[in-house]
Amino acid sequence: MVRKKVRVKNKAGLHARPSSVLVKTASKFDADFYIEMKGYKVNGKSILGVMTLAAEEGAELELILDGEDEYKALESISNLFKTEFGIED
Amino acid sequence: MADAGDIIPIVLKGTPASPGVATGPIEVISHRDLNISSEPIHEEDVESHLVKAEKALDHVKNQLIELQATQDNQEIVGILEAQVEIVKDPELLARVNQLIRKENKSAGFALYSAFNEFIQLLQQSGQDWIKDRVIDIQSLRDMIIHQTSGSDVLQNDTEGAVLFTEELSPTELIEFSESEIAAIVMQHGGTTSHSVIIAQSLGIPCVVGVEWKRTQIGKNAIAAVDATAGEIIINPDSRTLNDFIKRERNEEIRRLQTNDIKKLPNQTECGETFFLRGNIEFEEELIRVDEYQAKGIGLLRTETLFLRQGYFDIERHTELYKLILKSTGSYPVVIRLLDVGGDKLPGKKFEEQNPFLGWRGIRMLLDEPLLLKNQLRSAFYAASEFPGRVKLLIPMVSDMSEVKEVKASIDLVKSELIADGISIEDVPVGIMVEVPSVALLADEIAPLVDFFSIGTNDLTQYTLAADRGNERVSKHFNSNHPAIWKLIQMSYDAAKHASIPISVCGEMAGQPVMAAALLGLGIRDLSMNPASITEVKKMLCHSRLDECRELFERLLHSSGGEEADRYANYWTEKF
Repeated sequence: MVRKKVRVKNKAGLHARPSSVLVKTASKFDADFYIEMKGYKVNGKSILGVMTLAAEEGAELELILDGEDEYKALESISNLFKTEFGIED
Repeated sequence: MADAGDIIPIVLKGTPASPGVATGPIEVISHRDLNISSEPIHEEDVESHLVKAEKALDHVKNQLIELQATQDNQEIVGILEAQVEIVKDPELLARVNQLIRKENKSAGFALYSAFNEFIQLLQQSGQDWIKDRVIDIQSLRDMIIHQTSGSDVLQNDTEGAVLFTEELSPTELIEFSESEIAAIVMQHGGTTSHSVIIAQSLGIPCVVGVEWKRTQIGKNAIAAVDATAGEIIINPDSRTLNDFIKRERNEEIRRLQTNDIKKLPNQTECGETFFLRGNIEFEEELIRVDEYQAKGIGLLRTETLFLRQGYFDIERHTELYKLILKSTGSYPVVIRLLDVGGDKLPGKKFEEQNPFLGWRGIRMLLDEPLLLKNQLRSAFYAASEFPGRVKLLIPMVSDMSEVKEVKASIDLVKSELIADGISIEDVPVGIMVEVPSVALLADEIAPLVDFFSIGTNDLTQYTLAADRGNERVSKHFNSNHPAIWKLIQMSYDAAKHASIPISVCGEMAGQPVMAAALLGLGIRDLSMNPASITEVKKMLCHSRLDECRELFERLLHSSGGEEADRYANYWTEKF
């Protein structure tokens, strides 16, 4: 299992579009994926779950991955946060 | 109460969501009669309800995917993509199955409850953007539930109709739009809900937050909608109706004029030729380049592709450049080297107090020689297949030494490519004029480069020391300031003296009156957001060069931005 803390850089927060990019990317990997924020944990492959986090700009999330391809998945997913999901708000 | 037959006009108000005027017969589209029963189902029916729920979700998912394939608007594609993810949501599916299997709920009820559990959680989060997303999710929910009962809301006769609805899902809206609906009046819906964004991009007038009631709508009732003002009149009297029809027609005429303008040659009234090109960033925008008849690409931004991938992918960049070259006939394509802040580089973590005055553009590229070389390679690969059409543009130049360094790097890449047996095309190398020092030293720099391209946004913010993203100083950020005109003139004079081409690719080029003034100065090559081309062309086609020259002189010699703005407004009105 790997864990990594990331920060939301998108100005509008983790709204529908970035959530959709996040879930789509995560679903390509076999590893289970959870996101923890302020003690609240959601399935990172569930867009509705991710949206209920309502993570704002600057919010700190912890990515938790568990499975064979966890490192590859972690790299791809944390990259999304870094590049603001390729979305201009 | 009015008797039947005694029809009185009813005026309703709402929030304008997508502008326009329209009239038409009213068609009520209702989702409210959802066939949901909370009665428990028999144990032997569990399997069939599981299948029913799965089929409904599958059906809607496929509908969304099919629709997605027919859309070329990236915003709409993004919206539909998010909806597909919702329909595929594993947590939602698990909950639906649980409700059917463990609690013996019907497929419709299970879907309804499962969706509502998430909707409740979303509403608790209390963020602004959630409100409109909840509306989107509700309409998606209702569409799926409709599927479980086999009913289809899309059976109404909607040709030319004004739709009265509680809300519409994006999918429904796109499908209705194919029958050329006149307008949409929604009870719910925020101005940023996905359906509204789609209505805007399809040009369908739409008003949201309208409290209409079924009892207000008689048989064969018609409606007049002013979606720009947010007003709806049910049963308008004949005078009002005629007035609306006239306004509708005027809008149509304006649209047709736009088509006429497209047919005109790119010439001023006095026969002077000009070139209007597109600023783009993605291949998806090519369709707009074509639609607005841009003469090639005056600014190809390469940042987003780089940022999306998080590293420089030579193949993807080469592919993008080639695709754009292939789709733009024989016109030039100006590739701007990466103009990003260094904090966006993989593995770099730092914050700058003044990123716009910081390590970005060519400053960063020269410190990251491999990145620069990779992009140059991509550009040369593309150029070798499309000889004579690629130009390279260097961003954020503030000193001559930077130009020399980039040229040295270009020579190095060229010799490496030649050594690898790759044929090389000569590519003109120009610079952005956006840092005032370059405009001030334009005479010295012009002989060193192949062309100038003026970036008016940054030139304005650097010259007037006004951050263009900072609302408090927004009145100070004015490209129509005599100081900016002066710098543009200096750049133009230097380019002319050195016999190199000069173009403008900032927002100024896309504002009709500013474009006229640039033409007045002598600049014939303007690049802008493709959607601005028609309005700019209209202004330039109907202007004479001497008028434009006078406009330029007046702006250049005004006492400040405010006076220049007053004169520009006066000139536009006169026009």
